[in-house]
Amino acid sequence: MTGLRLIRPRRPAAARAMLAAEPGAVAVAGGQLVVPALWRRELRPEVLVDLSTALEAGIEPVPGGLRIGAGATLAALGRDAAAARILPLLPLLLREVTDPAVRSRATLGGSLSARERGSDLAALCLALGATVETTAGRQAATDWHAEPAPPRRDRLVLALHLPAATAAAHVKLLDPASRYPELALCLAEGDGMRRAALSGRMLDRPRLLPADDLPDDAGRLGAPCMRVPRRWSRHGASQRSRWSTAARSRQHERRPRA
Amino acid sequence: MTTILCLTVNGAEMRAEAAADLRLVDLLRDRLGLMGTRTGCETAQCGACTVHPDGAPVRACTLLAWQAEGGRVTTIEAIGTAMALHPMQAAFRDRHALQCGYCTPGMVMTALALVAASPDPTEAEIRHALKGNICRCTGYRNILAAIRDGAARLRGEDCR
Repeated sequence: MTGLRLIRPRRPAAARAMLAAEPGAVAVAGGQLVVPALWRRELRPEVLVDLSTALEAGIEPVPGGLRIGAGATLAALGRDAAAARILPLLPLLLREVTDPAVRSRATLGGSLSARERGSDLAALCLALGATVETTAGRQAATDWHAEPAPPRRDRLVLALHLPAATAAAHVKLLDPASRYPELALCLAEGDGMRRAALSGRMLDRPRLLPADDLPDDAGRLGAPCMRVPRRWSRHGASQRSRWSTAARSRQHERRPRA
Repeated sequence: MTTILCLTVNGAEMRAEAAADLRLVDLLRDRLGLMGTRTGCETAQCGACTVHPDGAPVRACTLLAWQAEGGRVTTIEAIGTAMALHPMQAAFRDRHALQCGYCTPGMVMTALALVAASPDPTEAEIRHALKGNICRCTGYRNILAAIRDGAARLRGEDCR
């Protein structure tokens, strides 16, 4: 028997208010990060706030891209036909996020909030110029990921707006044991846009690459070796990524320009 | 604080008093005595606790019991018995796809979710599905063969 309470708000604003009012509250959507952390005693909440009713899970095409509700599971997103049509890289990328059993419960909102573990989607969001919709309004994914690590109690993620791209590629290194991304690199091209971003646990936070450093072509992404600059490193030291030994996943797609 | 949960486990409706941090795996094993669902890593890495709440494979160690409320949970106990093995279990036995057997319930539940979605899976599909299931005995080759064989048996073909 524990004193832990469970609260199940029906609306995002109510969930946000409860998280703000209760310093010992922890939000649970799919629970794939929270439940292991509870078991390891890394989290010792007084209240669990169930977000499963409050969060939208819809995936819908919008002009220029895709709007994905924060409650959408990674499995649902990975098999969504509209998402695959608008952004063919997305199902390929999601196939390489942990394993099918975790994806069937893990949510987009949880993934975006998983800062310490290294979000699988962070590099994609930055490279595409995504926008995060929260209870406090919209903000660019670059700003969302530039902020200090959570817990952020002042806002909840409601949805992610992902712009379409004419070409995109994503490559990542996985921690062989946990399968969390050590380093991920995403390159996206669109109308007059060409951006690349890095994310993963090796970095202090996800980062857009300077324009000068971009590879010539998305197909060339995934050089055998990449050095993470000291100033970007989580541990304050220059690190060479272990491309040769770590598990690798690589996705690449190119569509003819409309 | 506890709540009363109502859910269906292996076809039987049940009610259980559960604390907010009670995990599904603990409900199944400790309260319901369904010991076929194993606890291994308990952090969603090893797949030994794989069950099917509402059809899709999920780690029972990474789901709180209240998250399964109102749903239909299927565990290995509903798949087959020692006297009447499910074709997938029989394929695991015949292909020597287990040694200590600790991971096998999770492997079988993962395999069944795979063949439900893809009745004739390629080796690449099987390997992808097994990404989250760890076996420390067999080296996986016999598991791959067993899942191919089990899928064939479920399609009405027999590869023995």
